[in-house]
Amino acid sequence: MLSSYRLAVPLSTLMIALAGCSTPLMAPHAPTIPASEGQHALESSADCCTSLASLPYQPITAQQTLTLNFTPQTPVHDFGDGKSFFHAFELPRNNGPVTLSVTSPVRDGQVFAPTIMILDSAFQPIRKVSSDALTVRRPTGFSTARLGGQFSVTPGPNAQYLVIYSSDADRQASTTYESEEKAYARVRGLAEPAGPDPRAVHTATGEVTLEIASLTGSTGMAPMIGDTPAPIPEATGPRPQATAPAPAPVSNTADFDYRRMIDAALKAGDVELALDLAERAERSGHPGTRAWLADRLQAKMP
Amino acid sequence: MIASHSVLRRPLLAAVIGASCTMPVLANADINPEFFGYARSGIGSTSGGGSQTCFKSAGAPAKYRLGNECETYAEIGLGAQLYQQQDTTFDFASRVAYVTAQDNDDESLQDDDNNISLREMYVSGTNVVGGLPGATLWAGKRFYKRHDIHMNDFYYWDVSGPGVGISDIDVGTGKLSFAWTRSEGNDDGDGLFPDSGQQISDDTLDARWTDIPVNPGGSLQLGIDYGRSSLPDWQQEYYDDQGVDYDEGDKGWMGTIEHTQSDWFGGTNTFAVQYATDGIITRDNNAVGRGTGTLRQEGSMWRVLDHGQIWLAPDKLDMLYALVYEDKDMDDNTGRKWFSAGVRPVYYWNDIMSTAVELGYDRIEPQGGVTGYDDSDHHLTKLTIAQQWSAGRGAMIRPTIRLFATYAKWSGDAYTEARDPSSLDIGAGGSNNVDFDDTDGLTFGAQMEVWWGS
Repeated sequence: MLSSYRLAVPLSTLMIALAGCSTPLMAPHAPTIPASEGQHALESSADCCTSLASLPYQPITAQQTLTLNFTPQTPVHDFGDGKSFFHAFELPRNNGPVTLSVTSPVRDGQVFAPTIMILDSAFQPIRKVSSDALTVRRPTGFSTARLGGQFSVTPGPNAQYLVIYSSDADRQASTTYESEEKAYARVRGLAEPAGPDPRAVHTATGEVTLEIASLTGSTGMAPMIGDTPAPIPEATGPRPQATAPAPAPVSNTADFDYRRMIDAALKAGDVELALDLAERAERSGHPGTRAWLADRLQAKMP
Repeated sequence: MIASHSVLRRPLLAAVIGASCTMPVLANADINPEFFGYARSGIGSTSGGGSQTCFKSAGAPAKYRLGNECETYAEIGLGAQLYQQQDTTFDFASRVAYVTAQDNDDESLQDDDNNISLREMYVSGTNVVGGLPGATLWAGKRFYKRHDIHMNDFYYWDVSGPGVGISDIDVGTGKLSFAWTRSEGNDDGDGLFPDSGQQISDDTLDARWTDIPVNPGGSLQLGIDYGRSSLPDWQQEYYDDQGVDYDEGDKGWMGTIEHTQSDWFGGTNTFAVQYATDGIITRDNNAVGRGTGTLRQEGSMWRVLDHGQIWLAPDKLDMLYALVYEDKDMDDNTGRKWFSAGVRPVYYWNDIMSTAVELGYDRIEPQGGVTGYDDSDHHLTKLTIAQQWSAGRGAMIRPTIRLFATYAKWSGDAYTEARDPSSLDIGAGGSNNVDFDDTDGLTFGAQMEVWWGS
């Protein structure tokens, strides 16, 4: 038989635990808006703006991580390829190339599939990365399945503004993703659960994380490769970015700034790339680059 | 962090240059390590004094695990994709498992309850065999398509070990997999071998036909395992001299039929029937389906089980459940019947916090020749309530930190006069701090559980 004192300690522990019920440990993220509800809200929302030039652009800096919520309260515009909730930004000037990383988590079988559009200073779209160029990332146990992509752009007159929205084509597609159960089975060496992978519908509402990072880490640097944004293939994804324009070959490499590139490589912690660059510099008529790099490396040593 | 940072940056930098010059692309075949694993650890006490006792019915191969795990267990995995050309890939994976009794800071491996074991070390090549697109050839030590019930940590089909195989051959309707694995054993514990270090090689041949669509959302898999002891001449002569008949007991086979239903009340249901004979039947332990190193084990085993997860109220209340019936009928009357049932409903207060209740019941009916634990019918019921903080909603979402209280009641005394465990098996890593002559006990504590992978 259990005497009452033996119950006292565990029960009081439990009471304390249960007392926490009314006060959540931390605020959960915004509840998922059902797909039909979001679509309805989008259809019934008025277009905020008459043209791309009148979108509410917010300035962003070259080192920033933003959580963009696409909700019925978000501004709406018809972009020609679809009416959509959107977020618009003005890219930082005179910062050199930046990388833009977008991540959109799959929640409750839904995901916001973004198109990333770059506009020039005259508000003309010059580049679009639609959601089919993004890759599906597996759940890791720390984060859910998500759509993600990364590309670079060199802000300047030819690439001044950034808009994130979801086109009709984006929303008509869907995303097949790995379930948490399958990820758990893979990680534990279990037999994978039978049946097809779940499919997330693309919704009008959702959440996108936008991370902007300076590629060089320096400020006030002259654009590296003219003003033309260099399209960057997906770092790890198997699919090419179908929508990215073909890179313009630069025939004249005379003013290619190897030393700045080497600096950037060293900043990124990639000594191997720096060495490779130094070799190329030597070969393309920049004698002394190797020695200069050796000095840099020595200076970096503790 | 630094490593992943540079890995991300490097192809970008390379591509900037690649796109702007006539130079060839710089990107080499980088190794992107994959880090994966699982861990659980915590602290607990037994009401009335002493560290946490874990409750398991004596003779049962499993126990309901919520708030009823007394050890620290972890698997740390490292792997990488080493080659990729078109659809052809080669991957490497390794895994080390750690178990300690969770007694103090510095836990030595000299302690019986502690262990480090090398569980996986293998390479798999996908699309490497011409004519078999999608198939994977593998060799090395590995966890091989293990089937388990999560809530009582029971592995009912597990032939893991060193091996070789080809898996997931697309045959139009479903997939075929074949494997040969090894599981050495030591001669039934009889000590007949002159040297206790001498082992018997047991081979298991495993063939599975999986992913057979049979109904909407449902799929079937069929498996057959054949296990046998591979005796060299000297061992055969040795046993002949000892008068041991190894003709039947050293081999056996097991058949498995399993049906999995998705779209099942928002979750999944798995139903399996298994039949096994002689040497492939595991004695009391967890894994079944591989050779056991026994030579004289003759008998048969039936097992029927059903388990799964359902959502009773979407996003609010889900439940894990399990039902097992196993009848191990051994010729020497050392078998037993085992009945097990459990439910674990979890109510989600929000995305982070939940309350879980786990009710589990195990009943053992030993055959007449059983010794070592209470040889009459006995049973154990446990009830746990736990307040949990997790990285989301759902039974398989981790990491989780939980505070728990577990109450268990069993038939019979905890110990016999000779201090042999009877109805209660404290299991590995645990201590029995339940008083003499008690038929129930209460524990409480905290535990974390986590899995991750890339």
